[in-house]
Amino acid sequence: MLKVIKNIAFSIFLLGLTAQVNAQELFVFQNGNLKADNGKVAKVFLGVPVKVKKDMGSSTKVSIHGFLDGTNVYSSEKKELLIAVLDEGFKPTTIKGTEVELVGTIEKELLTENGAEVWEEHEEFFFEMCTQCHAAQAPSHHTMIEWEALMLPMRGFAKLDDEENSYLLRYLKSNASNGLVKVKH
Amino acid sequence: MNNSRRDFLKKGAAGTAVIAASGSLSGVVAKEFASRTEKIPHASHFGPFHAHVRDGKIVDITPQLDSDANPTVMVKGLADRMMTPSRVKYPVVRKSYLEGKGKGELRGKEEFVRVSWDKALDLAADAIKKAQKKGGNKALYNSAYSGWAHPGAFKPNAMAGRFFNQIGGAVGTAGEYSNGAAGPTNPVIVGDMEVYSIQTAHEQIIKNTKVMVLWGADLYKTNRIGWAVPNHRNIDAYEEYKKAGIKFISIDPIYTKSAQEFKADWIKIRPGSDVALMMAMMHHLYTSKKYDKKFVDKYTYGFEKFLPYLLGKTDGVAKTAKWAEKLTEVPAATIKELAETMVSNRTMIAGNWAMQRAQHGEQVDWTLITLASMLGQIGLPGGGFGFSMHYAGGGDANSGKTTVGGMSQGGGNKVNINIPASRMSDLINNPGKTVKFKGGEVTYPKVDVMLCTGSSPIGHQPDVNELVSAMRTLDTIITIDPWWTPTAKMSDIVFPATNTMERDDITSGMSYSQDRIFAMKKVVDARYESKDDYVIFAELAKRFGKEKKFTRGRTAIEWIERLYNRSTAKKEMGISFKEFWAKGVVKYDIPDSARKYVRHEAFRKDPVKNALKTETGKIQIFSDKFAGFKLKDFKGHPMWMEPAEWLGNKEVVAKYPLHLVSPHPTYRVHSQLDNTWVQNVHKVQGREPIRISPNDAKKFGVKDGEVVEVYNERGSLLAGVVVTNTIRDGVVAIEEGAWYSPEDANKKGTRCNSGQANLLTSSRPTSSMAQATTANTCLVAIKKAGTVKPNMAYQPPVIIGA
Repeated sequence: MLKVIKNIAFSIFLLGLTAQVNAQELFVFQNGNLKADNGKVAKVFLGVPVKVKKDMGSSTKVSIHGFLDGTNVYSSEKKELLIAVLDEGFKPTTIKGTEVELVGTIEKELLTENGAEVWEEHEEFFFEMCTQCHAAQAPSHHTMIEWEALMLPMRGFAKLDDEENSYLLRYLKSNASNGLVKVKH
Repeated sequence: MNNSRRDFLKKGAAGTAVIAASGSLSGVVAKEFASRTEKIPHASHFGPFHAHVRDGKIVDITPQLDSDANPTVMVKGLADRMMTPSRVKYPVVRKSYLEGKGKGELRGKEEFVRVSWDKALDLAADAIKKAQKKGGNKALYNSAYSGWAHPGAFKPNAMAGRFFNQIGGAVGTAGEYSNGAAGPTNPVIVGDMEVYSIQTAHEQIIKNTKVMVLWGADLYKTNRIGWAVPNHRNIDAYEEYKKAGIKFISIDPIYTKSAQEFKADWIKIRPGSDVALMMAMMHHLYTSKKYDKKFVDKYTYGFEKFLPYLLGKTDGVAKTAKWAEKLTEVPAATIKELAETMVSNRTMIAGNWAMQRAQHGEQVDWTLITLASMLGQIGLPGGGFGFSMHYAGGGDANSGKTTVGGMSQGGGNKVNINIPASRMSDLINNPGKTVKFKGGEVTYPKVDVMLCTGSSPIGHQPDVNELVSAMRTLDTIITIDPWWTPTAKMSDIVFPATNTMERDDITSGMSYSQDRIFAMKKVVDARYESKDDYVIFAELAKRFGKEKKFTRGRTAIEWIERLYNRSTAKKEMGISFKEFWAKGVVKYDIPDSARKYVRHEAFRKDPVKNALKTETGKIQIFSDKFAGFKLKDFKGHPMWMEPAEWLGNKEVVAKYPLHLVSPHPTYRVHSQLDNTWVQNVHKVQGREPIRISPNDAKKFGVKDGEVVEVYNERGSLLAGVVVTNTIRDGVVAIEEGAWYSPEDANKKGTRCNSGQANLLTSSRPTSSMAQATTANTCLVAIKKAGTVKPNMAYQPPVIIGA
């Protein structure tokens, strides 16, 4: 009996530990600003994963991993998905080559633990526009570049304007097999 | 319009007096008829039209000539389809099913019983709930995968998907029958599906193209219909093609309508050997140093990995013209000449979709794109390749404006199992089986309930006998359809749906031009007890407490207005819905700049800035992704692989000496309109024609106009012989889409009395990559039919209580 209690206690401890570890990685809930210590700002896009460095009350100090090209920061070296745009003077930390880390504070309200929650509106729009002719495809079934390829002919069938097309592409690419979110929707 | 029949007779009498005086009958009667006839705008896959309605009945159908430049006869068949005896009139249930005995093996053999709407809906809902309880939602199979039923917003497949998603989802379909092999291949190779992509504008072809190669493409025939509403302006463009002096070459076992119109040189290729021909052309271009090395170096990836294969260094077989001559039956000299003609003239290759509906179909577009790369004309005006010149008015310039979409299926599908199109029978027959698919795997669940609407599986799934046997093992089959299709006859519960002319809807024209929005106005009241798909699925949803979620509280016309409100017409041009609906059409201008469109031009001009959406940004002659799949029948570069059934297989040819191709029909969209008088234009003794060459007719002892039996080990059918010089020796053609009609439903493997080509085709997949359909990989034999019975394909089944 004692052993069982011990096991349960240990499991609870492990669960707590896991939750704590998971809590370190949050997601940007909607487009927002990341403010560096020098006051310069980087615009960060929704869905981008951030690592929590410090709780600052109404804001959180976080770091974002990416690949730099000028003032643009991408999710991968191939520059398939723009995740942040730096103001002049925002200095990222170079890890290796173009690989960088952006550190700054962001409003706590703009962060969420639930990656799927970020995309609720996008998902509804995706289902509305992309299931008129055929059943929905899971975003994770294609890579980012494949989604770009597929959307070239399909945007005409779905009657998407430029803005809507960009909106959907960000959702699809962020949730692609090599995208930002590893959560299954 | 409110004049009564009595008023009309009175006026008629008065008119007679006038006629007596004037001597003019037609003028007066025509005026009177016109005054009592309402013209109601509507639209279809065959074109936009006005239905002329008098006393609640359609008396004529005339095309909307300002939106359809060259109407086809098919539009005229729509009134007949409304009134045909093959309409489903009432909800019905198969007798044993209604009695609770099941007996699925009696499907297609047993009579139906007329029931009330509530009874039928309750039975369908109960069957679904029972299956959910037993096997979860993965026990539900939604076979309605495609929106080809009509061009409107309320597509039956979308309604079915929307219903299932509200209750947790169902097993669905991945990919499609049309482009199942090219669909997953082309985006990785060239960064676009290509098969559904806007094509180089007609104006650029007329101005620049010197040679057009119709590689299996029949531009005149398949552009007769459209996913959206066709405008048939392509016919006018083709007249300009002719005047421009373009040289046409048709590579096809059939001398098609397009080949005839364009007076094309005919290369009578052996079916299934096109990849070998392409390889040999590339081999000649490379060894004669006539290929465009600069293009290959700058715009493609992996040529050096493909080259050893082409030269035979990896498999010991150099892909020479001599090698290909044996496979293709095209002389080696012709192969070389063809390659040289294409490389030395501005050449547009119009590819097709039929070639990839064959075993190893994934290789076809890939090889053709590789050949086009060596020709070096991709991105030049009037040069390169197009896989959609034959579809949706390919070559039409785009308005740049937004038209209207349709109702969505919405989210909620928790099943997330979509089986590859072509695997329908495999799914039903082999629960638990795992198949490879697009580099991953799919495991079939055990399905108990199959729902069919908006398309007829017994129409599009190859190997009908295999499918019929499979369907007889299911617990419940539900069909929602306006007509007694072969699939409806194989069902347990059948709901009568309205057709589009019995309700309001909205659509656009056409897929590439995007320059029309059409009102599909209700023309007449719903016949018999039929209800709209939207209403039927809402009623089903109600039985799961999901009606409001299904409808979102909107009526059909509210959905239509909502869809219209997203259009440029509403958002930017200020045309109110009321105004549009009153006029019945909105027309957009097409800007001159759109007529300058050249496919892949931007990529050619700046391949870095306008990189293709591929692994390397270039054309993937080699794909590391595909190589990484490590499949036996699909590698990292295009390859020639011999199909299991073709004229090169002596063993099978000894038994079945003719290659059957089953191209798109001339007078239908697949099986649609087969139940109308329009078919009289081409049917032979009420059966689907089989085209055969004079030599083969003599060889097999068949005569023009007679009914013959065509057979192989999968099945047999009756078809009407058409002896013609427009098909090469060794090949026969039966257009797909005739309605299956078992000669003796109680006999296993009975002949199809109608000539449904899929009795003979195989469900063998293209490869373990795409798992797509291979209908054009098919050998058959032909013999005298013997005694034949009347073809009952278009008659309703026996219904008790009707």
